[in-house]
Amino acid sequence: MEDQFAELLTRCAKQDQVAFKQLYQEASPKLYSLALRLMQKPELAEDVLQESFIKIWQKADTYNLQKGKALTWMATVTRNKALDKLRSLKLKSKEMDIQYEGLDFASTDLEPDHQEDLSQEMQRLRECLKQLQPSQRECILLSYYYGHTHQELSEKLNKPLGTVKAWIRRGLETLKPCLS
Amino acid sequence: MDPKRVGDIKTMSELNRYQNPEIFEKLAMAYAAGTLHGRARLRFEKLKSEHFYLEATTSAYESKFGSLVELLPSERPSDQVWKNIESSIQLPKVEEKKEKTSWFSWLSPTYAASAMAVLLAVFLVILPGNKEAVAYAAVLGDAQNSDVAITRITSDLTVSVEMVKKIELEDGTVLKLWCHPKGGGKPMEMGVVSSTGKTNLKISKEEWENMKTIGKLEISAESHSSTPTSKRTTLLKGYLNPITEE
Repeated sequence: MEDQFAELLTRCAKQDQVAFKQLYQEASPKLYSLALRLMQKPELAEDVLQESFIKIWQKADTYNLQKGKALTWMATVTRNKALDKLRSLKLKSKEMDIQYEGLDFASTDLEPDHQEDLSQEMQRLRECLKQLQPSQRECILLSYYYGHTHQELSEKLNKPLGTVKAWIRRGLETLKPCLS
Repeated sequence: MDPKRVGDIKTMSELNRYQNPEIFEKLAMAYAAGTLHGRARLRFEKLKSEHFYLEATTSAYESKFGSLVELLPSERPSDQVWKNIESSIQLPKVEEKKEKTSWFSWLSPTYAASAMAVLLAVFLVILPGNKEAVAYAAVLGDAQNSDVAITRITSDLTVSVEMVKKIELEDGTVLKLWCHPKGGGKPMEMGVVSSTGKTNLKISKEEWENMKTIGKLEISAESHSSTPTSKRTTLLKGYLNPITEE
């Protein structure tokens, strides 16, 4: 499937403002959704989204196809911005009102409603994630989407810290050959 | 033992640890998946910024895990976010830009040099010169005053040079495009252009801003490794004209 976002990013690198607005309109709903889960507060998530898109505009010329799909590159920019902000604000999830949680959108069997919309890369990743035990998969997905630490996962899942660490370690070990 | 030496040994052993592919790949993967936290994450970020192989491996895993964003439901941010982005990076109104690009794209690259020269002259007559340029153009002629190349410099930071006649070059020489400031001074090298067909060169935003100070373009034949002070033979030259909106 053609990467429409990559085309828009290439045009952004040439300072094409029309392309940048289109990129924002089409990519921001997914990126905002990611920022909401990491930040838990809409106003903080909007700050992260804003900072991310400014960086995307400024760094568009550094993106190339070797960096993967354009949406995943932008998701990495957004995620790192969110983690930096969380770190600078020294926010802990337990201090916040949890508004966004769970993995309903990913579903336990990783069979989302609109599979045909998924990129080949996501479909490959999904096949790899399916090889994990549900507990391993849950820990890794919760870490990615919500930025939970091992300790937070231990409390959330009501499991010993060592067990959570082992699930994550074994999960990543299983994923490694599949992703490679 | 000297505390500094202890620190050095610790750093070395840490670095050795990160140079072990088995270890750094696991760490890169954990970082990308978001399971590396706290000081370990900070330490890894620092090393990643210093070592290309760590950065490249991490980036590869980030691109794999980044696909997870596709599973998320779409959520719409408030309209204020876009307004803030626009004002932060000081984007002019998008509509203005649209007019500018579509306006200039009308000048087809397939126009012959002479037609281009006429068009330029017309535009310069009918358009006042004190407005901000949306593009620049020059028709470069040879010593016999025949038009040989069309150069267009557009706000998308592209310099395109189109040869309407092939230039014969001696072995070991290339054609280079130079910009000469209006008030004299050191010319600015723009890059190597092909002796036939069309060449596109990218310029920086700063170079684009400087175009208003450029009076003349030249194409010269010179050796590939020449420097701005090397001797060069000017083959083509022409005046750079700003193109403004009506």
